[in-house]
Amino acid sequence: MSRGFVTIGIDTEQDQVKYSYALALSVKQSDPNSEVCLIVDKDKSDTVPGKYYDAFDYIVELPFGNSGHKDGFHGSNLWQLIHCSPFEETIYLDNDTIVKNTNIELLWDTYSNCDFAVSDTAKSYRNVSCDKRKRFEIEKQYNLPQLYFNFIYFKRDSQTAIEWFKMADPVFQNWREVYNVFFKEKKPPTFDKNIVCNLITHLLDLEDEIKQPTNMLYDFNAVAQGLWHEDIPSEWTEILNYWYTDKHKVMVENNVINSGIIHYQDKGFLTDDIIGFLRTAVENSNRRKATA
Amino acid sequence: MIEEKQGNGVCIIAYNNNQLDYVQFAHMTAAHVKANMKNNSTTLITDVGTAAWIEESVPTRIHEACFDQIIIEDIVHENNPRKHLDSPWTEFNAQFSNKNKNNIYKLTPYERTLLIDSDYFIMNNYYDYVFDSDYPVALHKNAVYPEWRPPYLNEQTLNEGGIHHWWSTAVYFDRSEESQIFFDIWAHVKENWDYYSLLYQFPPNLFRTDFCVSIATHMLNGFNQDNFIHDFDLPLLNIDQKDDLIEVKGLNDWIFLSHNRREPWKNILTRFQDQNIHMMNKRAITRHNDSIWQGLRGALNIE
Repeated sequence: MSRGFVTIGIDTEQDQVKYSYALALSVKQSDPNSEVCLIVDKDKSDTVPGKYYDAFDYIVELPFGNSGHKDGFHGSNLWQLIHCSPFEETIYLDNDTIVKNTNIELLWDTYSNCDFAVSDTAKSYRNVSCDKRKRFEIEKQYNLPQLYFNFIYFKRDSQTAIEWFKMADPVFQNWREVYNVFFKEKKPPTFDKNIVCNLITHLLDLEDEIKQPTNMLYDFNAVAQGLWHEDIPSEWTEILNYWYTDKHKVMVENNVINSGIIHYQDKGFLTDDIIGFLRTAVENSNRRKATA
Repeated sequence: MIEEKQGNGVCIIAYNNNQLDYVQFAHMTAAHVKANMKNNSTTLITDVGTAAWIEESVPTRIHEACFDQIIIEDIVHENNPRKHLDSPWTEFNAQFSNKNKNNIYKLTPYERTLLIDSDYFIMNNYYDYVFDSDYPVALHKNAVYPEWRPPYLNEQTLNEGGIHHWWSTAVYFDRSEESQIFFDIWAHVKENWDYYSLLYQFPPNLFRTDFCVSIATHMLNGFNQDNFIHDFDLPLLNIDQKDDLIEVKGLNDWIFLSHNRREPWKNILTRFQDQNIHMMNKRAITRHNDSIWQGLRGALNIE
């Protein structure tokens, strides 16, 4: 059975594919044999800069075009994943994620018995469980599942995955109307992929079926880090120091993260240096493979 | 000092100052250990001046009933003034002589030692289990206050984004290399206090051993949340300086007035039985000296 990682990278005026590129390099740094697929806008695969090609095994296009093209919410294309993933077993990751020193085999083993799986746990940079109160404020208010949809495992041919993505299609394409119907008292301030995904799961009553915790997932959402103050900036790099070394050691404040899938979210985190460290690691690995 | 370490026991450090009679607290605490624990050999560690005050103020029969040994150090304490509260309405400053607490590793006469603060009243046998364990070092990771109130924010982490705050009120250790490293790091942090206060972003003014053990634990736990250092599991029960001891009903049965931080006009009577109690309001202990000793005399058969 083919298996691999997919991520969506849709360029706007800014280079968004570089985040997908860093993610793909980080997957290969953990496991050089892993396959990674970049999903881009329809008819745009030729526009992906050549410098990024080496990290991706596949570049595929959204079969139904970019449904978020009007307002720039490209996460709303998530419903198309099942139609374009080249793998029978897929792990989707948000592009603002890096996979660090992770045992990829173990990751697949964890989910191989599932048809569709999402984690209900994630750790903060302090290596303790995230504070869910603010992170899932809307979900809590409306009794929705509180799952982390930046990481989704699914088997393409499974009934659960087909069902979930079938419901995702109209909900994502009409998310404003859906907000109006479901969120009567307190509305999310804007499009939020995670809230929409939790709502879809609620509509299908699939929470118990798809909930599959992993201790590999880190969620760096600023409000989930257990910081004391109320006025926490949305970008955590504004208040927390961090280091990423050429040995792929990540340190945030005084805390080391040895391995894991880090959903860093704050685009300010990813520097050219980090991309350089990852590229060097993958190139060295490829050279070793070639000479072996 | 006994060179060969042997057996299990409890050490208590007490250095008097011009405001607080730590000797008095240490004897009460040791007596509670004697009354409630199985591993109840006790050693007092003190300085020359305080030892002289013991001879003057503590009857020999009480001292001998409370402590099996006394280790007297000839040391000069560095200035470390601390603000104390006695209930919400009284405030005073006193010297806080805690800088040589890490020397316990050298000073202890025991192979396996539980070091407790002189204001930590042992009212059950919970800690006996750790003497039969393989843990090299153990301390409390978490604490609570009466009414299950959480600790203050700066007692949860060293700063807003900082590492977890561990408590040095009760520290168990053996003679292993791991323990030696733990105390070496503690000493290192003490010697480089300003640097570590900058690195870990805590206020440097008051030297706190809690911060030293938090950093040592953080390092030994791999700079994350590993479990190399054992957590006693049960949270430490702190009686705040703003709480007051109201009545001592028995040896292990105390009633407090619990102060509400958010609504300071509220004070709720709270009773604890058979629970270990960290009495941060020191003067409240002194006020109940007689009634505390009443229960202890009976338990220890002191005339």
